[in-house]
Amino acid sequence: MEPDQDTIAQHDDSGLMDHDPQSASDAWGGLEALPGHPLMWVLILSELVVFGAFLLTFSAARIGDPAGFANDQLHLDRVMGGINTLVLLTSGLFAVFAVRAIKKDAVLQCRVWLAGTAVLGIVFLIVKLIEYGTKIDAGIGLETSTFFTLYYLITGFHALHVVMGLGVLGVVAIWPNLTNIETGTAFWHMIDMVWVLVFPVIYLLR
Amino acid sequence: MKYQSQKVALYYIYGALTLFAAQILFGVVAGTVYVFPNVLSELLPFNVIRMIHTNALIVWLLMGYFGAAYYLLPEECETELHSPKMAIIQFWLFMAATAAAVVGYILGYHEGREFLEQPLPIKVGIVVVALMFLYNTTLTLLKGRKTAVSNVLMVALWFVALLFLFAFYNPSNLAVDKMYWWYVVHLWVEGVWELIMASILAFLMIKMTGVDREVVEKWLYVMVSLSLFTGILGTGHHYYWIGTPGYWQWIGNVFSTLEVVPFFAMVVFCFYMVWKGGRDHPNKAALLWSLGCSVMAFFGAGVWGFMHTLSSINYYTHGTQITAAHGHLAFYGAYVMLNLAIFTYALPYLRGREPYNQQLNMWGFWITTSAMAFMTFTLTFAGVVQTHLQRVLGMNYMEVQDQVALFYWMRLGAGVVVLIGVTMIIWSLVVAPRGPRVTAGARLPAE
Amino acid sequence: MDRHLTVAAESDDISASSTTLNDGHGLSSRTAIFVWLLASGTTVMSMVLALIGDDRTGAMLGILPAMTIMMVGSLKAWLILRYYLGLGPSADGWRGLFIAFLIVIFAGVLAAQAAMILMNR
Ligand code: HEM
Ligand code: HEM
Ligand SMILES: [Fe+2]
Repeated sequence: MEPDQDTIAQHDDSGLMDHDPQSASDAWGGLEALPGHPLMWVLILSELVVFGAFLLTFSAARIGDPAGFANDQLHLDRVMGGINTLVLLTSGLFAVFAVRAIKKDAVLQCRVWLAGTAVLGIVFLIVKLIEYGTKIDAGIGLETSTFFTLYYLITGFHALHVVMGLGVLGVVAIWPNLTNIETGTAFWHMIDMVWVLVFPVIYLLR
Repeated sequence: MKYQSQKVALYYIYGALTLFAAQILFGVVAGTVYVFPNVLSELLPFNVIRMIHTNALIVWLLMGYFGAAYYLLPEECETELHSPKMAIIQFWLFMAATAAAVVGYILGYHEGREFLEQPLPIKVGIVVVALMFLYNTTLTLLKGRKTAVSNVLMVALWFVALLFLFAFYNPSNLAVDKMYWWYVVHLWVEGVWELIMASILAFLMIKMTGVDREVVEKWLYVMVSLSLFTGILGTGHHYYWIGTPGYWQWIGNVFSTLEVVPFFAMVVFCFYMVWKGGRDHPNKAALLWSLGCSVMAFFGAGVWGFMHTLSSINYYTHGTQITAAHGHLAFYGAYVMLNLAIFTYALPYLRGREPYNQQLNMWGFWITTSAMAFMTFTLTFAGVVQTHLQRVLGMNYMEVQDQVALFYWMRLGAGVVVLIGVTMIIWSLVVAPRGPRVTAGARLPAE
Repeated sequence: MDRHLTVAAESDDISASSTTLNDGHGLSSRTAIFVWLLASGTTVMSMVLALIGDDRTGAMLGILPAMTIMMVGSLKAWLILRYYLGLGPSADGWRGLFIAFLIVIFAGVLAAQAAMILMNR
């Protein structure tokens, strides 16, 4: 390709400029050391900051009303939450297998594992909807209390990511190559990881 | 300049500079009314002056983006514009709509929604202008080389137009009205305009520092991702106290705090590129504007934005002079300086003038930027005092205004200096370059 | 032999980054399954414990039980990061960043718990 820079810079002293020749690979500032597409890691880092901020906000808000939070928390179904933890952990395992399969160029196998991952994601969402359903039936909504506002927001944001994750898995299943599969499953693992932190903070601590 | 059709950018740049001058003039008049409340009150009420000040701002910034797009698209796409003639017609239509709007305002025709005061026919005119622009540029993009810079810029400009459609929806319920209003205002300046900013800065860095396009593009993608990730839900910081549900406080707090990150990334990007690539581009002034833009945007949008973006703070500061301080430095640092950067960069090529008077331009940079910073400080002080007296102690509004009158005087003083600085900038861009005329072809070595 | 779990975890393991010792497909399925067993096992165990001893009164937890709960959660998160997300030896700097993230959450949440316990006294 022709040089992009304005031609003016090609003075006779251009030898003085010490452009270090840039290899394309070091251009992501280290992100390329991580599996999958570096931009996915920009997203993952951003997501972790957001969820982290929400969990800390939740803890801070709890200081203001420990009894109220504990009381509201009694309405949460910890067994459902625990089951969902298991579901997501298992889906994460399947995602690992999908990556292993594509490394062996076993596309069909890879897709099967991705499908398994996605099915468990759907199970997670169904359990989540059942949880929301019982809350709503009990007259508990988004604005019932600070606890429930944050509960719905945080778990809702998380569930939304599961939905997006399903989309991502679908897309990489259509174009399965190593980078794509690693990128898609990295997003999925992030969702998994966020949940194992959300669960104790919102469901268990009191 | 490599493509003839890039020349249409000249119309837009001159048009933008004209409106820029008008905007600043009306700003100074508005600042005068603040200290002499009866000035012009019969002839030109404050609300109309203010409206012209803010509308001229938005319109000239948009006109600048159009010009920037017409300048950089051919170079990025390596092809002539689809239709230069259409671009020129579009320009005059835009100018006519603007003039009609201003006359209308003076005669009292407006819709009264800040920034979106244009009467319906003018809004329709704006949409037609936008459609002409998008048609012209999209066809150019489609027939030429596709780069990250041009793709991001075009996606952003499409969304600028699409979001403007919310301006047509004006529910009578004031809270709902405001909710949609922010879709335009916030999602513009803290969403898609940020993409415009990132892509134009990326273009300037590619051209001026010599860092590989590939490297710049990666940064561009990161900045774009961060802007959208934080900016869209960051809208929540306007939904704290307007009657929208309480959960917006949590969303707004978290996401709008993070909005600082993309602005910081842009500072790092610009300085890192310049450090990596070198500063031997002859257009020092354009480089100064580019670097300055990233820094002042970080302060105006990032720091001054964060200052009042937490709901517990905004509860007190909402709609005080702190908001005005932030509005001024953010708009100036991010979008005024961005436009001046690309104008300063492009004009010598467009007019085949080299070398041109950079000294005056750079003096204009320092004077204007310092005066805007000073104006921001005075407004911030005024805002802090106002917040304390009015919102904490509960004094009444007009009593408080008397208490902060001194700050309004200082704002006016700063405003006059801004006017001087802006005059220097415009002079340096439009009139001053008296160097020998060099034809564009002669100074482009064979490639 | 499962190198990842025994050696690679904390030490500056050079061999893990060379492809000779693992099967060339990254994380071995043995390790993956082991990680899964560990994480699921602690989940099931804590569920059982919670169900047995659950009086559901909502009384505030002491700092030790709270710390245990958060440790189990953080451990799972770390396992996912290290093995599933593949923050292996090649990503040392990043691993540090992610661990810092976990520490901030852990410390922040427990600090809040401690503050409440103190205020409750
Ligand atoms: C270049 C980007 C930005 C521009 C041009 C800009 C401009 C403005 C303007 C003009 C207003 C006043 C709107 C009105 O009420 O009439 C405003 C309000 C506000 N901005 Fe920004 N802003 C930018 C970025 C940011 C960022 C990044 C943050 C947060 C970190 C922020 C936080 C706020 C807040 C909280 C308000 C509401 C103030 C109030 O309640 O009165 N802004 N902004
Ligand atoms: C490039 C420079 C300038 C920019 C980007 C700019 C931008 C703005 C914006 C965005 C607003 C609306 C603020 C809000 O809604 O809170 C505004 C209002 C205003 N501006 Fe400027 N302005 C500039 C220069 C000036 C100058 C030089 C003056 C002269 C003193 C001035 C005086 C005012 C006044 C008095 C208002 C009305 C404030 C109010 O209603 O309380 N501006 N300007
Ligand atoms: Fe905003």
